[in-house]
Amino acid sequence: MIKNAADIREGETLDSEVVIVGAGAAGIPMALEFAEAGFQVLLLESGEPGQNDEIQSLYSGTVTDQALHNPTDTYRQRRLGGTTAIWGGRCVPFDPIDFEKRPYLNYSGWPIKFEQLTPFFEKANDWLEAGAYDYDARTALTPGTPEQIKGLESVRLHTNSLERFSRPTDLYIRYKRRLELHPNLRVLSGANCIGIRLSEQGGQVEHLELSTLAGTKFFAKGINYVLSVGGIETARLLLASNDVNPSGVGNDHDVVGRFYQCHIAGNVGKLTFSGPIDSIHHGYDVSPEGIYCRRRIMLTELEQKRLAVNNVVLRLHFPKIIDPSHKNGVLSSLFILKWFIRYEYAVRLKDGNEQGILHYLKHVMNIVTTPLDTLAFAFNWLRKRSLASRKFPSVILTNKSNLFSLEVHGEQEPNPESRITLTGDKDALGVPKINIDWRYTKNDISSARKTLQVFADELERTGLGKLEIDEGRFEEELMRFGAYGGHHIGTARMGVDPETSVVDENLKVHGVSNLYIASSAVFPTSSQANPTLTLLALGLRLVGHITLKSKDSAVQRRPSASV
Amino acid sequence: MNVLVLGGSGFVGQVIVKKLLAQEAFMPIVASRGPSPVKGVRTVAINALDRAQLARAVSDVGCVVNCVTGSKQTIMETSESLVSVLLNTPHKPKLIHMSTMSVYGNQEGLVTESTGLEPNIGWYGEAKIAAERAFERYADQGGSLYILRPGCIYGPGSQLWTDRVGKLLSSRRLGDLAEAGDGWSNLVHVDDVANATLHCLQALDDHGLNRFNLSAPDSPRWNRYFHDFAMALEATPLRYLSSKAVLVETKLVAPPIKVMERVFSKFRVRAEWLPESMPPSLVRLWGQHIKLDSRRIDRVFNFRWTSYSDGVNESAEYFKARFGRD
Repeated sequence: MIKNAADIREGETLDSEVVIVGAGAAGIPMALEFAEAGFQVLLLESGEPGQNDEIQSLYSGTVTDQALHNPTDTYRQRRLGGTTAIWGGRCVPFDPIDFEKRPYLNYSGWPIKFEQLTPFFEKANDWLEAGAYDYDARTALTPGTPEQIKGLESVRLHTNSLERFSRPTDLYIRYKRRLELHPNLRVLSGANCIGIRLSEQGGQVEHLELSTLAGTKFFAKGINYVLSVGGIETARLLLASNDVNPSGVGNDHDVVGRFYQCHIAGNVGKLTFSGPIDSIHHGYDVSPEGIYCRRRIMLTELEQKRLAVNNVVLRLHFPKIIDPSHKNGVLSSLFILKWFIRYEYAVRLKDGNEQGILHYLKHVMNIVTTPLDTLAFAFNWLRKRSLASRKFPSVILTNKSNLFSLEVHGEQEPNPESRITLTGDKDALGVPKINIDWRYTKNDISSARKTLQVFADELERTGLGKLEIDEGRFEEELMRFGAYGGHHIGTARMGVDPETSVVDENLKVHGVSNLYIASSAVFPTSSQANPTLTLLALGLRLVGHITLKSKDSAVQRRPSASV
Repeated sequence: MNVLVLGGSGFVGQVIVKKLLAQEAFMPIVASRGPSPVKGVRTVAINALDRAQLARAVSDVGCVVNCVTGSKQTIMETSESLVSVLLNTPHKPKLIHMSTMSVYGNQEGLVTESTGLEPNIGWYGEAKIAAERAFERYADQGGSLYILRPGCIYGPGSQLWTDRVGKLLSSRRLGDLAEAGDGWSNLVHVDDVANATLHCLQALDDHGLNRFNLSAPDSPRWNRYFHDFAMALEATPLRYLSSKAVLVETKLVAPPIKVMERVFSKFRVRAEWLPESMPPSLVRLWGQHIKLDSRRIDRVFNFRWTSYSDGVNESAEYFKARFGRD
């Protein structure tokens, strides 16, 4: 059943066995799996179907350095489905090395191993409609699919790692009917969690305090509580719930909100391949089950350890859009149309400095002089993206010149000084707003640079091409857009030691017996991979854990009444 | 025991007849106007609407299995005819009636055998409900009645759920439908339907009315079936259909195909060459979140189901052998 909180009476208490806050990427599948396991589930969501500016404004806050981080109300969606309403759909599991304690990477190491997540990655792939759990091009793609760079055989590089693309699935739209029908499940929209209220000793959650936008206050009471909101909002809720513990929930050791990570991302270098044009296969492949997949370039785990670098991935990318000297009508069209593209996707189209009206005229000339290319692109985009059920993931241009740049997407070193804090301002519901002070370290930049160097060396060794990097402007280029928007990680990190972490290996908040966090906030490290698949896998693992725990405590579950 | 199988030359009837033939205890008799479709089986040429003929045919049988299908009129008149004949037999043979999940109409959620019937999705469901009601009179008056309500019967020979789906997948007109294909498939292997019939036949202490839903517990949602069947058929890459593409199929492609099918049928011309169609009723079913609860037959007969993956693989082998691959 899906209902709106407008019908709830002031002071009413809603009882359930599992209370989940946040109907997003993890919240919706978790709610359905809990319900399927026989639990009575209450899924609370602040938003409604579709974006509502007033609700979205509850995300407003400040950013310490606006050149380094996007505004706080961008990339996050406070609505049913959460940010899956606007996400790009890239699915990649974290790598085994991400879970290891790496001596060269401060604060690295997860309290669980990669293998413990494997079965949940498989299920997460299903929920996100990303096809089979197979991220190796050699087995996932139809035999005979061309290599990305023909002839590049290297023991230092892994060139068969795949990323898969979800439809991209808006989880609310996709699973709405299941949410409506499941007899064990109540979804309540318009229900804003404004406080996690602990027992007097702080050892367990007594109830959640909720409010509608109109100001009706009510409560949710459960046996187990799961916070399944984003990496920024998690920290905010924990810190703002400070009535029992003045430092906030789970924050006895001042860890909540610290170690805030995104990804180091940017387009760098001038890459020139020397072989025939058809020896480069830089676009998407379609797997047998119809999923768009793309190869990436990364260092092998051995090489990462040998060079003591963070986990970084490289993708072949088109030349700088902003520079009209590429003479490409498609890129120039994107540059001009960026005003009509959603902020989250347009922001990285401005990859250099604009130079007045003449600059725009040059782009117009590019479009006029290559009208067929531009029209063909527009037609394909309409057919394969706008009108398609499974959308072509991104702009891929025909390789005509063997010229590329490289898109870097890299792990950040966890840094306690990179953090989310509360400010003195409050939102419309009286919850303190946040400030984001995102920081990166020299290791983040040098890891990307060293990874690129290995690729450059291997190209030179094999004679397949040349990678040129402008050393003087490398950091500036890489940091042109600041933190990669949308990947909010690390603010309530997992760990065994309560002094350096917020949740344990089962995502339970240290010292609070019935509060769990299923969010990218719990990742101790950020990997090279986008977070959605892994955060969902963690959430699904949590469902298994709570189910098992409930069985152990002899709570009799009703038989599943799956619908 | 002699077992009269009405509709024994149809898809499900044939499999039941073969299953009975393999049992020493039962002697199947196929009611058919033509030669028996199964070698070595006795055939009686009767018109089920002719009550005198039907009475003679049931006079020496211990059980009647009703697999009659056809038009609304055929289904309803056959059931009325059969029940009136059975009510007048002195030995009261057991009756096993092959009904359908369509009797539950457009309901969603988990449906058990005691869920109410809804005649709201077209003539087929209406006819099958009427047939069940008619047969219930037999149980009311002391007859032993088993009503089986299978979901979508697939497996080798299933025109609807193996042949048609396989052809649509192979021609890439069908694939993943997102939320439009999120309904439960309620697939049941044809062998399981035949086995359920056999269990009903073998039940000794039976009397009155017994109803069983038949849907394999591991039968998935439709999108998963389309995915798995396409992979087994190597009909790849799987297609993802937008709601607009589905609309084109149901509103523009299906109607002329249906018209042609009816025209050819009227003139008794075979029209197997016509492409498969996706009428709105079919697409509605794929999006209907109805799940048959089959736990009753598990409990009563300790029933063993064909595994879904075995069923899909077997169906794919059959399909490839029969139709090849596009």
